[in-house]
Amino acid sequence: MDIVVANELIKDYKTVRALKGLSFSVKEGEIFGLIGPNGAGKTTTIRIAATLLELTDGTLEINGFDVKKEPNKVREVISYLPEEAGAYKNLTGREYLQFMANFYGDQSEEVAQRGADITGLEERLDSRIKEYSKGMKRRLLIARTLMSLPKLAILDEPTGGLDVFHAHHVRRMIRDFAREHSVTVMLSSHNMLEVEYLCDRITLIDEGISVAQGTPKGLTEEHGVKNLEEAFLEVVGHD
Amino acid sequence: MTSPMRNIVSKEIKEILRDPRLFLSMVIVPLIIFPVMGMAFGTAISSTEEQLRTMEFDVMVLDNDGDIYGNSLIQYLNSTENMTVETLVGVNETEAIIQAEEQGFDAVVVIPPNFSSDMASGNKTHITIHSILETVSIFESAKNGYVHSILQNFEGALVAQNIANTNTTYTIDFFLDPIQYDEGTVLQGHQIPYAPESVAGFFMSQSTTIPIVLMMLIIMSAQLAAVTIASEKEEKTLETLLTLPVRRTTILMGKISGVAMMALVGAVAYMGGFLYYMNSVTSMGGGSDMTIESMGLGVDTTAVIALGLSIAFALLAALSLAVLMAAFTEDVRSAQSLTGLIVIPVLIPAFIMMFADPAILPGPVQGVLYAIPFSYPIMAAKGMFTGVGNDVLFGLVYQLIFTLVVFYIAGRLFSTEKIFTAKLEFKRKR
Repeated sequence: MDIVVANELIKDYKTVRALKGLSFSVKEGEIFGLIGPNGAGKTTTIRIAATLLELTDGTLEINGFDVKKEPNKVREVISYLPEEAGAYKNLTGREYLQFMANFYGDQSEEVAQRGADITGLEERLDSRIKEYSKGMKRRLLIARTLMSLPKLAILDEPTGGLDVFHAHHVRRMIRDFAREHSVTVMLSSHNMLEVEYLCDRITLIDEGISVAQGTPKGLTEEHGVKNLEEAFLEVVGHD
Repeated sequence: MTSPMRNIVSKEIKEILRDPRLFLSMVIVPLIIFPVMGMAFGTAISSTEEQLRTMEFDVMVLDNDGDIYGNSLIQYLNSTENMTVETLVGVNETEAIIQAEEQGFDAVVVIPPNFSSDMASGNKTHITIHSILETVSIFESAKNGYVHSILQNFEGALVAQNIANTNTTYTIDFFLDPIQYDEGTVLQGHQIPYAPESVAGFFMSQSTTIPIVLMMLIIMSAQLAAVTIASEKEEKTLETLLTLPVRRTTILMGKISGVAMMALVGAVAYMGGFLYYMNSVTSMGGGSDMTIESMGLGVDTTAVIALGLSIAFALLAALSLAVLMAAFTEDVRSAQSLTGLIVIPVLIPAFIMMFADPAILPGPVQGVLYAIPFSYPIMAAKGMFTGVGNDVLFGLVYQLIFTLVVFYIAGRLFSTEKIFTAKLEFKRKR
């Protein structure tokens, strides 16, 4: 079953057309990657799916709900992590998780505890967030995104700006949790290594349209190259 | 289970209380600043009084008369405690002033030629006092008042002597002040046993309190509301918040409620400090025994309710406006600058109505006053002891509609992508 169905997405910002008819679909339980260079339209797509931006044309359905017509229904099934997201720095990590968990009904204690477990931050969760390193903050935010067991977790550049150690930890968190709880993940990235490690399927985006779709392995084989980076360059016609 | 609204309110309050800058500026500073001002004012006044009591006054007298009344005046000054007098003759006024300044005198008293002959023949005469100030301060100017009062005492003694010479049985008080006035005021059917100037002064001092509280409350809460929205944008937490399974109007209401609660705490702190300051200042001046009870007035219950409601509505209107304005900014600093503009529609009615009632103002000015939602608490405050008119009751409805409209617009803005894409741009025309 497809959790996400994007059909001919068009998005205009004043005079600039950011999406020019992007189409793709995401299957339930998979980790799906939107891959492309800066300015390709990944974040715009992600923000439309997160109900923050409005589509100019085309349709996008998440779990059967139209993001344009039923944004409140969509928000009940998604969980979104923006690129370079912050957290309330005067709250402790635990308070932050509890605050977010309180929006998820009767199970809020359980949800917050799950979030605490995902972070692996243990007693550091009782420190104020302003005392966290960038990596710790990102772990907290990833945990917040996953703890409610959403139908679809939307992650925009989940390891952007992190050092190798934290980036690796975050990738493992996402992969293990998604597998264990069958959470569907749609993420954007321009880190090809990350994509090969995490994603079951990807769509390569360039200048607002999808230029290729498939599994990372399938795309490299199809284009007869060693890795995804070379496959991407092959597809978009650059050296 | 925590309701989404309660969840947001409690998070807002927690964040504000834990932000040292906000907590300091909202609660601690107002609690400290006014008492410190009061103490500073009190110290300045009491040390001035002490200085005046104990200081030596050096007065130079330029005696252009050289006759009996001039001598008598010099003798009178010489006999005054703490006063040293040096007499100068045969120089002009300017030279006398230069000499006095060089030699550190506090004042120059100039006795004109023919002073004695004018006095003896019943012609009005004059004395010139030049006070020499080292700086411009209360203490320095008080020195002039002291010399002047000594000369007035001398004048009083002369008047007493003249009266004594007429062999009359009347007292000096009778000659100087033969009629005493007992004044009363009738204000909207209430008879008040005080002069209209005193009544107006009393009401003015009372009616300045409400605009001051209102101004503080609105500016503080508007700034806070703007900061909470702008910091969510700046820290990129707003994006997350707006994708949660909660209605965006609930998020808005939660934020506004949290800020309103903290703004009220801040306003109470400001008022506590301000009242302490006012008490310490007025008690130094001897204060006035005039009270609402002594004027025979009571507090009008309807007006009190109207005042409470209009302050609450004004606060909500300001918060909604601030949230709306902050939505067009990208960071905390620009949000603070933009919402600082709210002070203008708060100050305009406060200043106008401090001096005049809307009814006596020209039509367009009245129109502006009635269009500003922050005018009505001041109108209600003015009617606290005399009753409120229909304009205040109309104002409540108007304020409510104004707030709902602004809140609706803010809600619409939050429900669309404009919350992220709308930005005020100030383009310079070339």
